[in-house]
Amino acid sequence: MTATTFNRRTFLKIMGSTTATGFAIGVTSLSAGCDGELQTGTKAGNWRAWINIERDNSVTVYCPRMEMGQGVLTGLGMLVAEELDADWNSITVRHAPLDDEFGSQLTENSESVRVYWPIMRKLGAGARTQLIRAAAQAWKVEPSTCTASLGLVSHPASGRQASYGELADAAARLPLSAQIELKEAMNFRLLTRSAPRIDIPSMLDGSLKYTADLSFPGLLSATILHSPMLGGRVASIDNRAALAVPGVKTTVDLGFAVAVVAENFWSAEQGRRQLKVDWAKPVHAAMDEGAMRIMLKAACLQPAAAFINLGNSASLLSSAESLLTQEYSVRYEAHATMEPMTCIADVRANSCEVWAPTQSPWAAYGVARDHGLSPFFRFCERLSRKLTGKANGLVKVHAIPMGGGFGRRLNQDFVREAVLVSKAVQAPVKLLWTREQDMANDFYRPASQHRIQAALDSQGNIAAWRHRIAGSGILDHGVDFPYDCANVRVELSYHEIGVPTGSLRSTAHTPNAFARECFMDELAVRAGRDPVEYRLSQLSKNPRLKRVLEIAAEKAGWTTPLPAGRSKGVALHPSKDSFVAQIAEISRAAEGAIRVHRVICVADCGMVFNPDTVKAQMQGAIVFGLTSALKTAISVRNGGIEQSNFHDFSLLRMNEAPNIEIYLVESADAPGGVGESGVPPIAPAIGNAIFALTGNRPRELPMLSPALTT
Amino acid sequence: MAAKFELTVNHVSREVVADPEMPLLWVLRELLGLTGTKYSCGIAQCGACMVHVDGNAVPACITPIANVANKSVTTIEGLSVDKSHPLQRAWVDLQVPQCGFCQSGQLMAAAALLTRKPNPSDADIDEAMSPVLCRCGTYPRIRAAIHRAAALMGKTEVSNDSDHF
Repeated sequence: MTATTFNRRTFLKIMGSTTATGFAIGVTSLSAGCDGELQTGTKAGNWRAWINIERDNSVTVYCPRMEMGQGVLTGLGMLVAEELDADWNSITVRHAPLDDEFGSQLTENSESVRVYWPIMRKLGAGARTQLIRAAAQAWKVEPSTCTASLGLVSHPASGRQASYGELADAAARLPLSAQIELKEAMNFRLLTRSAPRIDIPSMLDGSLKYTADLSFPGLLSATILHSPMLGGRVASIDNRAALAVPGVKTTVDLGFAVAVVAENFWSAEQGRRQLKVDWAKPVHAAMDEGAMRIMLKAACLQPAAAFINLGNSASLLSSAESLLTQEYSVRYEAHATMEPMTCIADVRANSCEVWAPTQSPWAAYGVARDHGLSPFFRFCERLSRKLTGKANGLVKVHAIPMGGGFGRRLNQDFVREAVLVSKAVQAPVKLLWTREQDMANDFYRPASQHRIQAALDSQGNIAAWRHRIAGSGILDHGVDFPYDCANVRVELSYHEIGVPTGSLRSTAHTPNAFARECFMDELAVRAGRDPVEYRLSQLSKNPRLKRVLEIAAEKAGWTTPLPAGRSKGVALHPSKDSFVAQIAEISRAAEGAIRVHRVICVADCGMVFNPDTVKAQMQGAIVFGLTSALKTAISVRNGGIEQSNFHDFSLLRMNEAPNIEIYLVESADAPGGVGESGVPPIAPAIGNAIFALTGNRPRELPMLSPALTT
Repeated sequence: MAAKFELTVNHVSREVVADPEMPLLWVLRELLGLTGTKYSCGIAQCGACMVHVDGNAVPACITPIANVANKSVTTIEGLSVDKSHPLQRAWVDLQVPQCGFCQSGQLMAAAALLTRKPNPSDADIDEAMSPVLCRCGTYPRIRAAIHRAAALMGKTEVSNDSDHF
């Protein structure tokens, strides 16, 4: 069972099997989670569009979210399989086709399960209900006297049985049930256990095809050279040497970049190295690292617009006797997905087809339409889509599993480039960026400057709090103050810096949690209190957060003294409807390198299903967060990105990875987001451990060794 | 100037015509259609392109085809016939991959390690596996899976995780 690209034949099967009455095209807004409204799902009335049951009892589930390693294909498939009572071994899961039936299909914000938890289950239950009714009708018995289990419907009283495959056609012809009952959690057969991911076997022998692995006759290869200064333009090109490279077909001037098209990638890359391009500087160059930091620090000294303003923070701070002020700096970070940006585009006179690793197939679709179709066919496409709600034959998007997403592939810049190049050369083109181009043309996690002030009361508890954040891009996620304090003010100050920014696995949660949790530690020290006890005593309004911290302290042996040269640090953060506390144990080598030995992570993610995937996401998030915490950052010089590859933007390596213990709290609450919520606490936990070890307080993220000694 | 090169790939004799400087990575991917070996950095900093040349783990992105003439190359496709290599079994048992993109390189580096050291210590694993990056953060599972594969190979006691079905 592999999650492969959605092929044309199956696409047509879905289209053809739709009945006029069956579609529930409408959108239902679900409860708002953290970071604003969750993406909408659908009313999910028509299971037949989502679940295909073949006569041999094999079941295909169409997954409305994109796979990037978070296990969404398997996870959402499990939700269907549970309520459908299908045999898990009969299930295949594929990316859903582009159709409003499947909602926005935008995969971000750790919300796939939060949005689809009720929907996928209703679909599976709806199918199960119809299958039972079809059998009951055939056998002329009451549906309530039939049972369904592991792909078979049975009538125990008579001993009759029929497989789902035998019943599927009849079931599909029945009118949809109005009443669909979901299982009680105590009756879950699959969900509380862990399913092996259906796509993992194909990752072990090279058979899973990522976008750059795909090929078909006539497909050309391309690579691209962007302006070294962000926002720069092509002034002139000398491509004679490039064209002389064997295998190179042509070059394409895109205005902001130059593509080299060749028979294969190696030839294209050799050609790219021979390109001579004069670049026109942008009107406004991106600010250099130093200038940006000066500007943001100055901005933090000025009052800014309030994003949160509870109680009387400002005046209490100005009159406070015990006031602590501190600043924290957070630098840019690159996504550095292991799969560089890539896309295949085939633009013809009246069509545009793309194969892309994308977190938003509809966004890719829009880009393919807008840049690949002529104005007349663009008009036809818009009209057709308005009438049918489906993608039509003019624009096709094959959503290919991603070699990492982390928010990078929410942007479809690479899709646009592939489409433009294909259109220019009038041939299908596979565009693959080099790592250098990928590193320098990202949509980075924003840099920011934080200035936090708190007033303490006579017990040392927080009486007033002001957190001022200056930067660009997304700054406002994760600024809710989780501790007891009636007077909280958060101010946001936005500035033009000139560096493209975007979402990056927790985005603003990481910087904001770093600043807040490091500062909490400083307050605890100021108050002469233990960092865990200090937090616990001020979490009365946040019992779920309090509980994960209590458990973390117990599992980590917080009060147990460590051998000399080791220390522990703690941090917690709520995000995406989940609550996470982490304690890190570190030591430090003579030359200053921090060694992380152990991380205890306690997560309350609501009801846990497929626990192994939840643990995997927490483990992965901690390793991901350790890169943010301890490795190199992205910086700007002369209007361009300084870093170019993994030698100067290093990721955490195996020899730096700690032992990680994950504890998942049992909960009956609805599932919370898992993909990102493990990231924010790790950096401040490390920073607080560094203080406990050395007496020095890192106040910049990443926490690089030389800075620790200042 | 293109030239003819003979080499064995996954036990099969192959002949390619290529520029002597063309990296083995691109010969495999684009001339021989073996796309299991991945490009991720091109400067041997990430390990995604690890293959075996005469049994040694080698980054294919910086290995010119001329350097492997008449040598034996093994790629991820040749690690086993049917995913039966103990590492592949351990990778499934412990559900190691997330996005999977780095895993060809991880498995090839791990396989070379186990050939040299059938019972690797954590320090051995650090040394052999640190060249291979994983952005999804699967390092803890890779480490555990290497130990498990070593145990499977040594046929020592191997516990089964009953949490999976």
